Amino acid sequence: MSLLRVDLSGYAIPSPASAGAMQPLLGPIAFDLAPGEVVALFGPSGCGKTTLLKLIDGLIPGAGIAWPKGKPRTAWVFQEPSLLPWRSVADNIALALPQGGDRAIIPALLESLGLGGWGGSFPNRLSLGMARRAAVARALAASPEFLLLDEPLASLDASSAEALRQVLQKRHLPTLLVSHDPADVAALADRVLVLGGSPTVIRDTIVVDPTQRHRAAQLLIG
Amino acid sequence: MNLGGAAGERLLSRIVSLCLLGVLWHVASVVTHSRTLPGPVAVAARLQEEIASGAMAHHLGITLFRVACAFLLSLVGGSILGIALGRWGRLDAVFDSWLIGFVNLPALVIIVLAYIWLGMTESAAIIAVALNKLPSTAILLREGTRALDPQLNLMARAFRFGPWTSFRHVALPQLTPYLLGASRSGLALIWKVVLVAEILGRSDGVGFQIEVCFQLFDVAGILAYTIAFALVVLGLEWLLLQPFERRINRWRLAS
Repeated sequence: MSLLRVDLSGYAIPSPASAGAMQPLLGPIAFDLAPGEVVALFGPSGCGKTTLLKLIDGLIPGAGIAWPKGKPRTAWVFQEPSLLPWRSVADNIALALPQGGDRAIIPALLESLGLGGWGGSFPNRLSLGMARRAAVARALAASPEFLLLDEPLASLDASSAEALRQVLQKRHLPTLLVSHDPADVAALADRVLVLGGSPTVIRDTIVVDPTQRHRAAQLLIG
Repeated sequence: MNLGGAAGERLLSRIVSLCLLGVLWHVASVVTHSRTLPGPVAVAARLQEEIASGAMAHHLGITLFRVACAFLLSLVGGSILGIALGRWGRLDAVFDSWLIGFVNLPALVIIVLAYIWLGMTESAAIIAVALNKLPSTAILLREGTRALDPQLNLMARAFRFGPWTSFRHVALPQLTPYLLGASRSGLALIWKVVLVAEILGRSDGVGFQIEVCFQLFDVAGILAYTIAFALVVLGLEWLLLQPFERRINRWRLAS
């Protein structure tokens, strides 16, 4: 049984930037996501990938989304780290803990992401790569059953991106990932849905062989 | 007290500046040699007299009580109204013209009308003073609410923060500069308007005392009360507002 079922056939999802516009942003997109699967939505900027993520998580109203096993606890990693600048890194993470969650897990979580000793610092002391890792720590602290990643590796240097990739791969939580970077998508996803057109539809589906991820990246570049 | 180099220098500059003002005042009073401009020594003597008799504490105390009540009323009421207007566009469309009207209403008109409609009472004076400041507080907080970072708002919703957590940890810190601005300008405006309300309709307070001194052409008395009150306001600024501001802005200084 799938964990998530998306079927936007028959629903018009307008662009958030042009509310009321006649032309819908998303077309009849339909796909399933199995438990433990990492699915990537790959497409050009502005094609509605983030809108689709928000729709799936219920952050914008819409229809065509079903969670056959019940809605899991979700956590996001946004393109911008979106840390509260007036709270320390540890406090930012603590805010995402589920009710009754133990703050004591935070130092180990930070350590695992290479941020040991940075818990007491304010986010403006962190580089973008560190802030992005802190945002991942926050998402993981929420004990998610489903991850939503919006360009999590965008504009990171190679070593930061690799460190993040490893952390995300190790957890292997069911994940919906959005990116326009073929390398990121190929490195993380089990299956890639290539989006395009206007309104946006799924143009192609690529199943990624974990032993030959570079081939998936080449296919996406092509 | 351990003062850092920069802080110590700032304090010294302030003291020197105030001393310079005192010297200029003294020179002006000696040169003019007029009843209308008593020197700092005469005013200090008068201040001492008022303190010794207990009159200063009584009048200053009641004025400060009115300032505090009106300040709290205007800050709380104006903040709630401003946040609501910033949050809900339809509400703003209805009340925007009211706000523009009230913010431009002369303080004197509001005070006089409050005394006529509510009687020459303590609550009428406090309400009138609060109403003078409330619209500008609401306007400031409305702008603050409009400027809230939508990305942080989205994050709060994505992580299912409750309404109180969202307000306390996400919205309130962003609104704090606006609240501080409203507090600063509020304090400055309210204590001036309180004096007018006291002159017009109260039988105690610094405003009332200034009115009595005016009747008696007692300029030293007027200056004694004015200086005492200004010192209290400066004290509030230095001991309360500035340390609070430094504390909540420490994350900015960390970069």
